[in-house]
Amino acid sequence: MATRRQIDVATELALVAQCRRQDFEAFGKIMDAYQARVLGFVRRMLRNEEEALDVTQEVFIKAFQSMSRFDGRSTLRTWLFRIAYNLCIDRSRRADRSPEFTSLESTFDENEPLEFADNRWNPEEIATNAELGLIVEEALGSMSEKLRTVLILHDKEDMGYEEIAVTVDVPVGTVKSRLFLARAHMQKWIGNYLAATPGVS
Amino acid sequence: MKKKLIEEQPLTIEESLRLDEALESQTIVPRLMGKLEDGAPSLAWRSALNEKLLAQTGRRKRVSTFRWVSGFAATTAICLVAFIALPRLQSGPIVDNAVTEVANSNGGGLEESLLTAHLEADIESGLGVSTVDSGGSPGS
Repeated sequence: MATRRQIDVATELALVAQCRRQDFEAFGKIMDAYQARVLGFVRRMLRNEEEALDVTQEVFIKAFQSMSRFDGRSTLRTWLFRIAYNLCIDRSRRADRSPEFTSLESTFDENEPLEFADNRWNPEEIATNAELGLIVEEALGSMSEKLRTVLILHDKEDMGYEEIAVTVDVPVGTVKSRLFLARAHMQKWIGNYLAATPGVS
Repeated sequence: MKKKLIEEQPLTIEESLRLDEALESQTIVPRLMGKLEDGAPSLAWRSALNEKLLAQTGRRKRVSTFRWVSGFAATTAICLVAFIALPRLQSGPIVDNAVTEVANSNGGGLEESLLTAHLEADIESGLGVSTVDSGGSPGS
């Protein structure tokens, strides 16, 4: 697993101040800390490796150009992911994938009951199942971008509801409902895989 | 409630509480998501990004240098114009010596002297301006 270089808030603010003076080295430290995470997010959003690499570069170029406009009201992470999210949306629109208009109904059958809890699985077995990583990636690709974004930001990037609401520009309640639906979809997907795989609970 | 969630309609307080509970009970998916790997970008990718950023910095520096030079030139020009124009403005209007001489020789009022000086100047320059009292129409 790629190591995450964490920056504390004080260091982050100092680096931002240096970046505003066009300090390239300081920006390099910010890139070191965030490039893998931003790339991971963009990769999962666009589902195209070449495009993801290109868009991630664009994220950092845009961030460097507009660092003077970063007011510090949100964290640097939120700000970077917001830029990444907007660029992914733009790219998808240009490619006519129209993520904003992908309905949640397309992911869910209204007559099918929703699973609220996922306690029927054995966490130990799930943890040791190496194939599940691929299944999770597949499930991510199968859901609408609205659900995917919230699921990645919350469960992968450990962002809070409010932080996601700022990043995606929707109310907190919408973040929660999308997260619930995304997890329910993922559960269903994994459930189908587990049911079809002998020897796995 | 499912319909409300899918259509992103506002939930009642009870429904919101139920949703919070449901979110807390979903533990497997966060665990699986947390195990996903991001995969670090290659050094070539980073190097290309560095080059693009350095090019941006260079362009910005060139733009700021150009702005500084053009700003300095404009300020210098304004100062120069002010340096030339200010003493002239402070010294007041320049009175032609010829007018003063005519005014003195006639001993009349200033207006009369100015009119005389103007008419004389016109005749001298050979423009053929006819005076009011010269009479006669152009055809006569």
